[in-house]
Amino acid sequence: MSLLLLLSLLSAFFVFYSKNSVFSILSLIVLFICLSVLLVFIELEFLPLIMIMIYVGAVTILFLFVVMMLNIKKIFLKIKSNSNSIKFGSIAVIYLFFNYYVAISYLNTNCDLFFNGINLNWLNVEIIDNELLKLHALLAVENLFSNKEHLIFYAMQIAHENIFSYINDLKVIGFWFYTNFFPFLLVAGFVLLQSILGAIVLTMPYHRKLSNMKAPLSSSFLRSSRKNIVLLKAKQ
Amino acid sequence: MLSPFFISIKSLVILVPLLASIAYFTLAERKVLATLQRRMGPNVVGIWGTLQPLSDGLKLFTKEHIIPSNANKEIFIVSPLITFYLSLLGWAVIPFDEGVVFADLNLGVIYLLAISSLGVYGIIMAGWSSNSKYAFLGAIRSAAQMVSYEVSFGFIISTVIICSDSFNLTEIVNAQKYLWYVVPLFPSFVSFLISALAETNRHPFDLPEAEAELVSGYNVEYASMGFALFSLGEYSNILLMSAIATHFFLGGWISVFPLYLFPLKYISPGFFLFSLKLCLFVVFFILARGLLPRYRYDQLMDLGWKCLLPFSIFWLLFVTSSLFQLKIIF
Repeated sequence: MSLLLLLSLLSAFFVFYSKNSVFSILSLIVLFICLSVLLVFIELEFLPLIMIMIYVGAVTILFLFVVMMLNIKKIFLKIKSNSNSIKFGSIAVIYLFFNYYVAISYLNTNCDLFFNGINLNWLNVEIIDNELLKLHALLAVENLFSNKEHLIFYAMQIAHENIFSYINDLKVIGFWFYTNFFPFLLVAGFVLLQSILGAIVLTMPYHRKLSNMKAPLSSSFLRSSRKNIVLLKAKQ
Repeated sequence: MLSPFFISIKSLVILVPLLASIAYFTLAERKVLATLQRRMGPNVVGIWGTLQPLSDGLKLFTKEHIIPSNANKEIFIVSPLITFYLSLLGWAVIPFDEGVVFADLNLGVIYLLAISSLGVYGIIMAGWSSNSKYAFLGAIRSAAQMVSYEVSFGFIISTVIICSDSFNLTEIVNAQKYLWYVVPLFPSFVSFLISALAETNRHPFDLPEAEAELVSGYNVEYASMGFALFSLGEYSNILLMSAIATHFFLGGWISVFPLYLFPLKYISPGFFLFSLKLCLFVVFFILARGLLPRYRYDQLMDLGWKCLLPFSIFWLLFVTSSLFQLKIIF
């Protein structure tokens, strides 16, 4: 476990440290795989596999493609030791880590607050703890079948004992996507559609004028020029 | 928690027969191709050439390992290992009989997809690191081909998943107890076979190894064990694809006949039937190599993006909506 953490930290360091950009992308891949294994360790099933499939299998392949095609062997970065970017970056990193630390410690101490509060900010909970997401999905399923309040607490107890046998990870995600978060799903779909259209428009060739032009024009031009050449040869 | 010793024994029980079957797959391929072309095939080493794969392996093992002078040494050495390792990794979730499986994952199909999407890396790293134009072109072709066929592959698989309502391979097989999916999902079976040929870089989609243009594609610069590992990984991938196809469409270990009619019922016919069906796909792969001419690259891409992908999306919608209309899924 600690070895895995060390490897992920090392690969994250090598992403920006290595001068060969191909190496940095390869270490990014190693980092992704390490992170997905870490996600497996905290009892997530679906997310790490999807992460490997999408990020490692599709997105990073494109990065690797571009870098290899451009044939950038070495990138020489000029980093001054007293430049402002490093200062600001380190401050931002420390601030973020502080935030995470506070959030996690808050979660560990005040768990009951999350369990009792039904009117939660859903997005925050989803990001912080997947177990809670599962629990709330369970609650929602119970609510669908019967509106009795006492069943909810019973479900909470069951959820803590054996959450995996009770409800599937994937079904929970699907359930939430198509009930409470369907506007976000729609927006994501529209963003994807727009990006696809953008890519198609970018790669569309400027053939509108050429297609209006008649094809025999070029061939007749060629023929006439050939005739000229022949005539010239005859004169000589 | 299982002990590491037990896990290693368990993995060896899968790996050793797998490697033996890969070795004899090469022999079967040469024999079948020879039969198609009315030749004898390998018949010198052993009786009917049965020891030919062993002698080939020994030959490759004793050859000199050559590293090109301007190659990227670490990646050059690592990439065949990655290819081979990833091709073995997929076998962890393949059940050989009911309950006979290394790891019975709930999301076994997604695991297989993830592993097969990682398989591109070995090839593209090999092509880039060997610092040769032919190898690089082959690698790029192969990566583009595998990535583009993976999309339709996912759509085809999802029809099976919707019909069986599970990502677990054992449950997918058990859902075909009364009718194999090859009957109701025949169009997805055909498109699965096509995209499996493209995924494993086999003929008629073997553009990465187009001998006429690219010498041998991404593994030109490899000699001895590197080359052997690449070919082992390739053949293991083919066997894996055949196993997946068997489980998805031909009902895995489920027999056509009732169990009491089967003469081998005391030595677990599940294994036997599974491997028999797997052999059918292996023969299909070899016949496709022998019979079909190679596609041109733009034809390949057209087939992938303009025929298979729209068709598989349509078929997925059709299957889902018909199941919905019949009130099988809600």
